Amino acid sequence: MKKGKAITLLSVVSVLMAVLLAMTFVRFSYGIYDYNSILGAVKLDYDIEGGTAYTLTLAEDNEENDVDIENILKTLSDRLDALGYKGYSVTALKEVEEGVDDYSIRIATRSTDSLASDIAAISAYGEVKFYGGTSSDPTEEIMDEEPAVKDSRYIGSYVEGENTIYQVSLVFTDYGYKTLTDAINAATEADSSSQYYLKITIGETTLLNAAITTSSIVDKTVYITSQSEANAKQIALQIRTGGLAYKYDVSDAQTITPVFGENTATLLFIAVVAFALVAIAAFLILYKGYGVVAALSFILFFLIEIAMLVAVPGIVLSVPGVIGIVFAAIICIDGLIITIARIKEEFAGGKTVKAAIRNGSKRAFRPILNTNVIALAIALLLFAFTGGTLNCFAITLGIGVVVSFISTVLFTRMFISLILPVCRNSEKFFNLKRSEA
Amino acid sequence: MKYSITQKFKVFFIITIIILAAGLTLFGVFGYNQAADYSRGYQLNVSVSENFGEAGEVMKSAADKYLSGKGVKSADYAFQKIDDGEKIVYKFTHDVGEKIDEEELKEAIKSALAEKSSVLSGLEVTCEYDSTINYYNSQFVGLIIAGCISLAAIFVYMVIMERLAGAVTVTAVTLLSALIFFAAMGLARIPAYPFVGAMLVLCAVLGAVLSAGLVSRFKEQLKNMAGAKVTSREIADKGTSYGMLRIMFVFGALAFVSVLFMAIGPTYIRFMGLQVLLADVVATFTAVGYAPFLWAAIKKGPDVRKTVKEKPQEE
Repeated sequence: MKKGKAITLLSVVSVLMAVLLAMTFVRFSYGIYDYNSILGAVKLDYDIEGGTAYTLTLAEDNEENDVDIENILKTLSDRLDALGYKGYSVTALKEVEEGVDDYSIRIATRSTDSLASDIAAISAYGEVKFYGGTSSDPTEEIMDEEPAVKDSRYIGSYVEGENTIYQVSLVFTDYGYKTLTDAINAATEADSSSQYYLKITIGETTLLNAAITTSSIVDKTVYITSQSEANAKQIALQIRTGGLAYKYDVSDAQTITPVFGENTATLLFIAVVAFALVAIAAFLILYKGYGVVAALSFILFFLIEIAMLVAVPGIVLSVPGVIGIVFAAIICIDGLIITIARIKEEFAGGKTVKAAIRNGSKRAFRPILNTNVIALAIALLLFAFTGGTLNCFAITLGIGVVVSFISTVLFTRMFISLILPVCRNSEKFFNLKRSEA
Repeated sequence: MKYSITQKFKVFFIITIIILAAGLTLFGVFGYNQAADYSRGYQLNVSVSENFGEAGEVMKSAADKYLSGKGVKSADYAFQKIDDGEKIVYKFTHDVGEKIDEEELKEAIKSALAEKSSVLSGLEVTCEYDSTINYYNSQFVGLIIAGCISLAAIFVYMVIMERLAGAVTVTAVTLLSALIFFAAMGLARIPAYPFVGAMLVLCAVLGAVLSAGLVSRFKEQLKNMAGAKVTSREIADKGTSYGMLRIMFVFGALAFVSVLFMAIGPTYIRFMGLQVLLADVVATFTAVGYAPFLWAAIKKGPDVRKTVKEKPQEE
């Protein structure tokens, strides 16, 4: 590449990076328009930003007060998971005084537009019960020995006459399916003219009461209908996550500071920026000209990673997510050092600067590929098999590894090819030395 | 005399055995030292009827002072503010109920409010000491499944890329890093938070990344030394010495960020920094201690002679 062209391209790239840097960190107002920066648009989870807390207290009209609190906490957590909340705390509190047995429950999670209605769904009362028999209003409880429901989802709506009907699927477990079909077969064998009725209830609400045959249960699934989408989703959530056996009164929403401390977001930001600045300083001190290349690639890595946090839908950054970003940055640093080490060796072995850079980059490709593929594979598997805040760690690590690979392989080469023609003494600039042997 | 990392393998091995034995025993006896938020614990809830003016701040500093006077250090608890400080929740892992008198605390807060202004003295103060149960889904099963499949995937990938010696080395270092971190957490009794799963993964991946880099380096060294009379251990030692700057840079960078977390963060973030540092130390220890020795031990067979006979690649 000619010097003039390299200077022009280098100027263009520098301007683009400066714009991206400003867009990422700078907030400003222009007339009525407020620009909140890319970083400001990153959604933060409860453990970083805090959120909203609700207190659930046991309602007075419960039939029994012998509460299995751990089971209730699990059901509430499962419901939060099912609604997509990753960072949250579900805490049961009981006064440390003799004679006080009632637990209140505090649920704290990030604030969302739908949180109030989600909390209503999460704390909805009612265990799922199944009744079966030849009477049109069966009263004999069935499928009560083992878990009978494998899954339940809101599957969509259809129009019937002037009404829209919202459908929920209920998939039985093997035990549930076998028990139900055995009961249907037994009833019809005893009296071939009779019909078998299945009634499904949640608390005091009947969800389904209809005649059923073994052939109408396709793929171990029955369908429940509802008059509204919100109700259908709540029914699916309640069936899927198990019933709540007690009624709870829900308090008004209260704001709550992050579980990790009031200034968690600021402190994490300062720590990550300080880490990045020290890494850049170390690059410049240790590797001189190549340090400039590495620093530019490293800055681009961070800018793209932050942009991806906004661009990829559904990412809510939690503390483990920040650890994922830092770790991806470490993998990026690793790749940059592997590259310069190979370039130095090539030059020390007698190659020209250009040949050393070309061969060194080529030799560095394989170890960089290995480390990135391993890290990416683990991130993908973690994403597939875990949930909660570990999921956020997997997402930020996975995205970070891909960006790191692009930074160390593509951006590094791009910056070297732009800087090389501009250097008067490229050996000195890149701090390359011949082997003494 | 040149330094040989492979000859120091016994030292690494003995340290590993000690950490694993002591850590896993302590873990078996006491379990993980879980933080207040993710286990059974205790909470002190103090609130003021209205967060008027500085009422919340005055209440917080009076409660802090009271706790400190009773020998409850700030490192013993974490706190959260509810409704902009109208209510403060202090969380404890251990029962400090004997040290706290709710009425005494209430009086201390009231007199602090009265000192500030006559308006604040009229506010109602409540103090309640509760036992707590926290539910947390540890994702343990998912983590184990992901870990097992990851190890198999790493092994297959490394067999394709770096042959059997590289594959065994990287897979073993990854597994060992995770095991040693698990045991070291039990040994160090650092409070475990939900992110401890992420730290375990971080340690394992770092071990894998560092050892994969070393294995690539050993293989290059093998080609460079073609024709020379060298043992696989010498090749591994030479490769490790070439790769040491990279390992130290990565170690230093992660250690720096963990020290930053410890230096500037509140209690929870400090413990997170400590866990990052532990993961960093364990992964570096395992990669440096085990990767050269394992690779050299497996390469000792006919494989090394075959590769050494090959001509170096012309560039």
